[in-house]
Amino acid sequence: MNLLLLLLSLAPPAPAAAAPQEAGGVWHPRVEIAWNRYYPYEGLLDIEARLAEAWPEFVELRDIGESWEGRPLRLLVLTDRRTGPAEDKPAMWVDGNVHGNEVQGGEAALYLAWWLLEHQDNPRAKALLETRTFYVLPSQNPDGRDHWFDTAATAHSSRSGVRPYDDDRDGLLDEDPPNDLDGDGEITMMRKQVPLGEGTHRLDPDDPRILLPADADHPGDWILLGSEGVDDDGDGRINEDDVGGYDMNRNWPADWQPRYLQYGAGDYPFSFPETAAIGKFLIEHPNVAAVQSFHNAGGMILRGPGAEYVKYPRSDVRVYDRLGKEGEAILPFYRYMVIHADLYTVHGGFVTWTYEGLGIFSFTNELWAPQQYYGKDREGSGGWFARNTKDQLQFVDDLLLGEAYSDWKPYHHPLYGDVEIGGFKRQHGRVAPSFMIEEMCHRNAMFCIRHAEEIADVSFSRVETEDLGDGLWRVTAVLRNDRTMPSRSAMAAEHEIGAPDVVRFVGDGVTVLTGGVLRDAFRPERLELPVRRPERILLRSGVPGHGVVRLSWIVEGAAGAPFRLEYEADKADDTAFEGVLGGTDDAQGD
Amino acid sequence: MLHCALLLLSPLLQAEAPPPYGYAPPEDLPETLTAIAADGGAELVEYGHSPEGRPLLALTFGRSTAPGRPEVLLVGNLDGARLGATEVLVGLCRRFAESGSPLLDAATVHVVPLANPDAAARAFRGADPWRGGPVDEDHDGLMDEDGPTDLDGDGLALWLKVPDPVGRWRTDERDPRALVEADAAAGEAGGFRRLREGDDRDGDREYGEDPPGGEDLDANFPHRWPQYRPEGGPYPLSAPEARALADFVLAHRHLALVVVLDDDDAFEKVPKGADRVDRDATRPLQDDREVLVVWSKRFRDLREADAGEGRPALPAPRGGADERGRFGEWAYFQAGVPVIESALWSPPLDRAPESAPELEKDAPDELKLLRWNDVAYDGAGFRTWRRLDHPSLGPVEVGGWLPLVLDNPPASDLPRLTALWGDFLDDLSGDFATLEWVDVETTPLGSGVFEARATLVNRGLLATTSAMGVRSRRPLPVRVVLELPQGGELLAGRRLQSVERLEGLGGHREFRWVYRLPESGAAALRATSQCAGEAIAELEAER
Repeated sequence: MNLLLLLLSLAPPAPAAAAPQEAGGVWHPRVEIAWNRYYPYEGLLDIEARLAEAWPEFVELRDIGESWEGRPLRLLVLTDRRTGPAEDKPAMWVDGNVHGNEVQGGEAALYLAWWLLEHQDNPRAKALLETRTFYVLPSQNPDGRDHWFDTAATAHSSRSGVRPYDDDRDGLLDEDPPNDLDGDGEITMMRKQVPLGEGTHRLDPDDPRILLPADADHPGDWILLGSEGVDDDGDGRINEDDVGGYDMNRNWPADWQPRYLQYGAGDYPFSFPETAAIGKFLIEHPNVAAVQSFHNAGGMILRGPGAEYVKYPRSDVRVYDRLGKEGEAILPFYRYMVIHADLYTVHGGFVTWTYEGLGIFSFTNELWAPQQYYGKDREGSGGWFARNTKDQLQFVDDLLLGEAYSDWKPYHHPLYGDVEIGGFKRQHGRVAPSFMIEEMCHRNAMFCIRHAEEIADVSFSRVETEDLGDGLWRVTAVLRNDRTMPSRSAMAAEHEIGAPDVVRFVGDGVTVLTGGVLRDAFRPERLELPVRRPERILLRSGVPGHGVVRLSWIVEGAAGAPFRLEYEADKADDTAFEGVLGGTDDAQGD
Repeated sequence: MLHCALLLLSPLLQAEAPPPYGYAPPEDLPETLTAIAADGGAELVEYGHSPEGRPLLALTFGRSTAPGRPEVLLVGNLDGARLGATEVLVGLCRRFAESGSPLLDAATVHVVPLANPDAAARAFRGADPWRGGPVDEDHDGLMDEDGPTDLDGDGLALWLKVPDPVGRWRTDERDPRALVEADAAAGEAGGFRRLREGDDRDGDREYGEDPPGGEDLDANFPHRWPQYRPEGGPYPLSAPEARALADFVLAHRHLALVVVLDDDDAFEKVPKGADRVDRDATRPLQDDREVLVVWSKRFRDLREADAGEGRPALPAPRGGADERGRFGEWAYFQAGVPVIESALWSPPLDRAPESAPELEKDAPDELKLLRWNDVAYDGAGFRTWRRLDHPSLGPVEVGGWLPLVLDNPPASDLPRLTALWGDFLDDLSGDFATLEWVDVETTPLGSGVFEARATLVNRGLLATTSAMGVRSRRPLPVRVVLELPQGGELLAGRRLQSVERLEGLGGHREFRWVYRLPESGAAALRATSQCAGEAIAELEAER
């Protein structure tokens, strides 16, 4: 009976009291942040600084490294330090913007921190910061981010960092980037009118901004000439050696493959200062139990594997599926997908490394889905980057009064002669439009919160001592985990990643004769004897999600002799139970 | 040094002491290399340092600014216990400094005699060359808590021979020293366990299973990195020595050859070739293999020629090349440079004291090694089993091969090995790719318009880029440029062209251009490369 009551009291928290705003009050957050815009890196650092100043007992800023160009990788360490230091709690890592152009991950990551801080009246938000730590790195690639803001770019350019790379293998570095020929601060497209019948395209009679493919009935009089640019290095090619030329999300150690097998891989894992610094931090912080990385676009909740080289253990896949499906409900138009099976093959990706290499349950979200332009899956608006130009233009015209589009303008090109330059600007297609940013950030933050809430929470739910006579006792303990995630992922257990969970029996006046994991709750002799001394039992698979591990010891000691059970895990809170031989029969860990 | 001198003065001595007798302490290496650099005009480069603070050193010979000059890298002893490789490479440095080499006329040569100085320092003292950061080999949440331990006070942690009714080792009746694995299929029963000398400090009944460190420098490279093996390290190039060596290779864009002297061998018997490579490739591409076969034969011929009366040929090294994450494989499959991987030396299996009875061919190697040990070292390379009262196992025996003995040649073989490798390297001088313009023809087409035809040919044995280099896209292609004088105009053809690869021994590519020349000035062809030199041809026609 006692046990049943205990179970009820440990059930997942009931829906919390509403935060002030939702309760109808007038809300005055300590830090006012405009969530209707994207910030250059300096702006993200400023938000971090303001949060740290306003919430000193919750926020600590730590520089964990520097980018290639010397920008700080400033980690926002978020926890209620009054309940213990950050490193003593299981943690969630949240980052964004490893691809320089995928900027909104930075805002999404910081929104999570801001929202949790500003909702400390909410019992669930409060409990989360009391018992968990968030390591928030708004940008893995601040150089690429600023390059996207500061120089002429497209929605897709500046994915790389800015360390020079010889893309065209001519011994010169970054010598032929796209060129902003018309000086409008954007890299758009070039098109040229040619004699009728010689073109591949024709103008859409309804909207001459749009090119339609020529066909037998409609001969073409236009050709497409690619992105704005000239042949800077005179090698007969245009725009073939842009700034940078690599992909830091192919530079992580799990299944890393060289450039000839994986574009952008870098010389070797951690060959970039940014990945090296982040990798070092994660290796040195085994308390990280959950990872979320923000990218754009397409509306996806992605997990590994990134390639077919490894199989994920079934029990872990169940955890992923449960969180992923919940994410689909929280994030309309997002689909829960497996990277290599549903998207494409990625060698050396970040979240595949954090799971396959570090044993951490990890997701990548591709923020912003084209269906969101109209709030519904409008026919023909699909595709990752919304390739239906007509619909996209209608959106830009109706809701942005044309601002995200650069109209075609004539230009005299040194090679192609008279051409036109124009097209969508970088702000369109992959990032949410300004008025939709906050919703994107909020829904993704809630997904992170659900992930963090499901980090293993292990306690001694029941401890009994049984008098066997002659000073002998049987001590039986039940370790219970009330969350979805196990205290050690099956991947970590299978490949011996990190340390196994440990249960210690400590008692000065008590001698442990034998002990181990109890495999059958009704047959006390079905003990799995440990390899080594029974005072220190290793739980190689940890404590399963929503499950228990039973342990039992035969000990020698006087009635009333005190003993202590200690549980330690990399990715769950440590806990302990103190009792006496012949004492009360159930308890909860401290 | 003193040991060496004594050794050379005693040619009649039948048996010498086993290594490290006659070997220089690795700790002396910085001083030795500094002195060689000073004497021989070489450049001493510190390309990094080890976790214990020892410098990682390379000596560079024959540096030149000539365009397209190839570079060669000689690397030894990533393992740490392969002190023979270090000795031979230091010997080669001395030879380069004192007598030069045709190789230095053709190429810049970098020598890294000791890639793993921390491990070598331990190995020289007779300890296991454990390296790298702490690794929890037995996955019990404790680090480095149960390494091999010296129990009998001889200063070495060797082996325990433990009576055990279910043990799978047995004593061979032909030699009581030989502890060999019982072959159940041949009706043999065991009776012993073979354990590392140690006292099971963590009480898990394993002996020496979680020693200090545990990452293996030569399992820490990114090609076929053993992701979930302790020796692979937490990530590729996590070992500072490995990272520094990789950076050294990547920074030297003119490398035409890497020679690795360590514990793996893919040179004595060149592995079969492959038509394609993938992430798990172990075989060289067929085109690259052909050169290795030529060199391997040349090397074996030199070794045979070195033998003489009363002077048996140096033993051929044994050992495969199937370990994952090796430097040699990485340098080939990822950096794209041709690689020779040699284990340098292995104890011969065909030497025995004259009095010894014949052994069947399929007798266990352990017996053959013990006989060789009797000839080479008067038996001193093997510590005969002696009784020991083990604290937890009771009466056992302790003994076995001394460290270094099976992996390093007797000191008396070192000069011969050095000379052999020196002669082999001398002969490489003519093998490098060399660009040349041939069949250069200029035809006037009238009105100042000319057509030029020319063929670019590679005269060397090596291709301008290895087949793997082409695949990896790391080496840069040969660049061919038509240089026109001011006012000249290209009418047909491409001004700038890339040639990924010209094969060895006559690989060629023909080019054509049509151009108009101004009143004065001539056109020229220029081909530049990373390691096949530069070729320039004047196009003779003038207006």
